[in-house]
Amino acid sequence: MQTVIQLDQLCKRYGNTTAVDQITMQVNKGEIFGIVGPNGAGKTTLIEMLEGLRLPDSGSATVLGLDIRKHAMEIKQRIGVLLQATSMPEKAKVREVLQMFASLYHKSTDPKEISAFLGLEDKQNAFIKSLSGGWKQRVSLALALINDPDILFLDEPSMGLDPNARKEMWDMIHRLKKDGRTIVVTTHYMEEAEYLCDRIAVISHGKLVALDTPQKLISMLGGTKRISFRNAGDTGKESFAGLPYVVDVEWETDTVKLHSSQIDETLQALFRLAAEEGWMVSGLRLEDASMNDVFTEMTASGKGSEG
Amino acid sequence: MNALLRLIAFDFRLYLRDWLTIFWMLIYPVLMLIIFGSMFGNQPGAEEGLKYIDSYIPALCAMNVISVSVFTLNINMITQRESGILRRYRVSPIRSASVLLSHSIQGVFLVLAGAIEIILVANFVWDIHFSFPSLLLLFACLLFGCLSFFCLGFALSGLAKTPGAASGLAMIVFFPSLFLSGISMPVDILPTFMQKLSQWLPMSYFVELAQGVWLGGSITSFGTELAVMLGFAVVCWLLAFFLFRWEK
Repeated sequence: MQTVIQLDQLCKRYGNTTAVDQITMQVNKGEIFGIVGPNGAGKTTLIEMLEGLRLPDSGSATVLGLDIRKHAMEIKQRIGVLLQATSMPEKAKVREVLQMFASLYHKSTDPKEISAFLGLEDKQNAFIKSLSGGWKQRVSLALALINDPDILFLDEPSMGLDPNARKEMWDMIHRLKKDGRTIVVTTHYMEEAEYLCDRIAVISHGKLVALDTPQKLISMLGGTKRISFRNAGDTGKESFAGLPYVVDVEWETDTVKLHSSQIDETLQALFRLAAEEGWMVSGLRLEDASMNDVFTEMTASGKGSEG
Repeated sequence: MNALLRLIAFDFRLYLRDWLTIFWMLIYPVLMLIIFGSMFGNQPGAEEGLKYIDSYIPALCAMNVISVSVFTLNINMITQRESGILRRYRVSPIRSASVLLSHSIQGVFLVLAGAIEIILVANFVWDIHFSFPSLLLLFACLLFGCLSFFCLGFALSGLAKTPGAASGLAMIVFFPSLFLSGISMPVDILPTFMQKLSQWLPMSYFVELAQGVWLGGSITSFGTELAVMLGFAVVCWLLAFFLFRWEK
C-alpha cells in the first residue's frame, strides 16, 4: 500500500505544553483516515503542520513525499482543505469565489465541473451571504476540491449541519473516496468517525494513544456489550455493579447502562433482581460498544493503551 | 502574477459592494468639502492670493488616507480574520504578502479616487488653484502617506476581535487627527495646549506636506515633514509586524 502522509516522531511545543508529542504514523493512499481526540488534544496543531501552516519543533513529516519544512507551497498546491463554512466573503458570488480560488493553483479543475458534482449549478450567481448553512458547506467543499487535490483535509465536516445535510456530506465524502482521493478527517462526532473512516487515530494530550480500524478499536474494549433500561430509582448503583459479569455502570437519573462481558448471564441476574425487589425492567435496550465508548475509554485523563 | 491580479480584481468587487466603505471614502469627504467649503471656501487663506478651499482640498485628501487605514483596512482585516477568510488564503498557495498587497491596492485606489473626486467637485463649485505638477506631487505624497498609515491600519486590526471594537479603536485614532492636525480648521486658532498636542501628531506633518506641495511648494522645503513621515512609517511597519495576526 502506498503511503501518502508519513509522520516520524513529530513534535510541536508551545511554551511548556507539548501540543503534539512524538507522533509517528502513516496515512495510506485512498483511505479515509480519522483523527479524533478531546478539545486541546493536539488534533488541530497536528493537522496544521500537515497543511503547511505551522513548522514542527522536532521530528519530521512528509506529505505526498514532500518535506513539510521545505516544501509547504508545493504541498498546498496539491492538497485541499475544507474550512468552516463562514470562511468566505459574504459579499462575493459563488461563481466569483470558485473562479478566484481556481486561479491560485497550477492545476485546477473547471469550476463548472465541480459545481455540477456538488449540485451548485443553480447557485452560481447567489451571494454567499444568501446561502443556508448546508449550501455554504457545499461551496466550501467545492473550494477544497478546486485544485483536484490528492489529499483532502476535512476539519469537522458536519459541524452545524442538520441531519439531512450531514447525511449528504457523508455521501459526498464516500464518493470522493471512490475517486481515489485520500481523505483526512478530524471530528468530534464518534458516530461520524465510525461511519466514515477506514482507520482512526485517537489523540490524547498530544500523544497517539490508538490507531486502527473502528471495528478493531471497539473490540479492543474487551467485547463488552451495553444493557440499558429505565432507572426505576429503587435500586442503588452498587447493586447493579454487583451483578455477574458487569464491568462498569453508567448511572444517569433516567437511565442505567450496564457494561457486561457476558450479556446473557447479566440479563438473567438483572431480571431476578427486579423480581425480588418488585419492580419492572422497562425500556430495555441492548447495544454493542461504539466509537463513543472507545473515545471515552482511551482519552480519559492520561489513560489509554498504546497501540 | 496572474493569481495576484485575480485576487486584486476579486477584492475590488468586494470593496465596491461595501456601502460603508463607499460612504466613508467617496461620499463623506465630499460632504465635508461642501459643508466647510460653503462656510469658509472663499475666505482668504494662509498665503497671498489663495483661499481656504485651496488648503482644504489637499487636507481632505490626506484625511482620506487615515480614514481608509483605520476604518476600511482595519475593519476588513478583522472581518476576514475572524470569519476564517485569511485562513482560507493561508491554506492556498498564494503568498501572505499578496493578500496584504491586494488590500493595500484597494486602499490606494480609494485614496486616489477620493482625491480626484474632491478636486473635480471643488473645481466645479469654486475657482481653485490648480497645476498638473502640483497634482502629481500631491499624489506622490498621498502614496507616501499610505505606506505608513496603511501599516497602522494593519497593526490596529491585530488589537481588536470584533468590527465593533475596531471602530471604537479607529475613532480614538481618527478624531484627534481630524481636529488637531489642521484639516478643517487651521491649527493657529486652537488653544495653546492643543497646538502643542498637534505637534505630536504625525498627521499634522502629513497635512502640512500635502498642503505645501498642492500650493506649489517645492518638495525640498519640507525636509522636517518628510523626515517625520519616514520615522512614522518605520514605527508603523514595526507595529504591523508585531501586531498583525492571520489567525483568531
